[in-house]
Amino acid sequence: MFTPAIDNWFFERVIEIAAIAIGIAMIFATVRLIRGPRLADRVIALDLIGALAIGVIALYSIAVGRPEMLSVAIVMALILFLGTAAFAGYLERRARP
Amino acid sequence: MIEQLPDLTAALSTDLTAALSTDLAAVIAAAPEGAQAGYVDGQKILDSAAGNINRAADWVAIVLLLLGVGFSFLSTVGLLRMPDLYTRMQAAAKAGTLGMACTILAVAAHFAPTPAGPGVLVTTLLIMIFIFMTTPAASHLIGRAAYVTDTPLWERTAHDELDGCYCGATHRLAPSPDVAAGERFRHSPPGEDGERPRRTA
Repeated sequence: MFTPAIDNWFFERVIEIAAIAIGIAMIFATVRLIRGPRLADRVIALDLIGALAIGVIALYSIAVGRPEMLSVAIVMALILFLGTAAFAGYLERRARP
Repeated sequence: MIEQLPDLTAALSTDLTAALSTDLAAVIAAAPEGAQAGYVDGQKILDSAAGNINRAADWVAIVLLLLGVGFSFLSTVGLLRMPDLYTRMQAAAKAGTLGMACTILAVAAHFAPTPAGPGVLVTTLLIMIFIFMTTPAASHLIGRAAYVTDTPLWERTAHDELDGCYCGATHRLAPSPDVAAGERFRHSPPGEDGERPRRTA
């Protein structure tokens, strides 16, 4: 199977910049995850961290030239919603008198 | 047609053996201008036919990747800096969704000239559909749960449309405060981080 190698100098730098930016974004989301005053803040931060992980998978598959990891991204996109919905349900049930 | 088949297979096999025995460095050195390198089973080769297509796809992928990563980064900045749970949720849901969509489309554009292109396109479209369907629903659920658990609004919030509409006893949202008669639930005033729901009989 032919997979394109990245021999574009600019593209290599773009991938590095994107990796650094996603790393910083993950750090920001983790700060909110630790600091969030409410449980709902933490749930949102966890959701965004999962979405960023999908972005990391996409970046990895571009950088390595192998698209097989995208199946993992599909599973993550589905599991994330289940986790968030479950957390929301528990939050709402806790508020019930 | 059928008589030509042995010739074809013979030609193909000779081509294959020639290609396998050729020095890769010689192939790369003899490549025409504008050819793009690639890997076949971990071996670096040149794909001169798809050269220009690959280059155009790379530029599309670069633009989409920068857009997507920029939106993702801005969404986390919003998550960190916004003053209120609801505004944080807005930033994370909208910008995060758009950023993920652009990043995933960059993968599709990067693999578009390869034989794996259609499969990758289907996979990325599936991921995009899942994200676009599930993220608004998840944000709605979290926002509703947060409002029900009496999460305070920002102190400079202009208007709370649900103020007085939520009945804590029956756990029901009424369309207007007049409908929500009887035991009424008032959301805690903006700016106060009250832990317990405050009910007014």
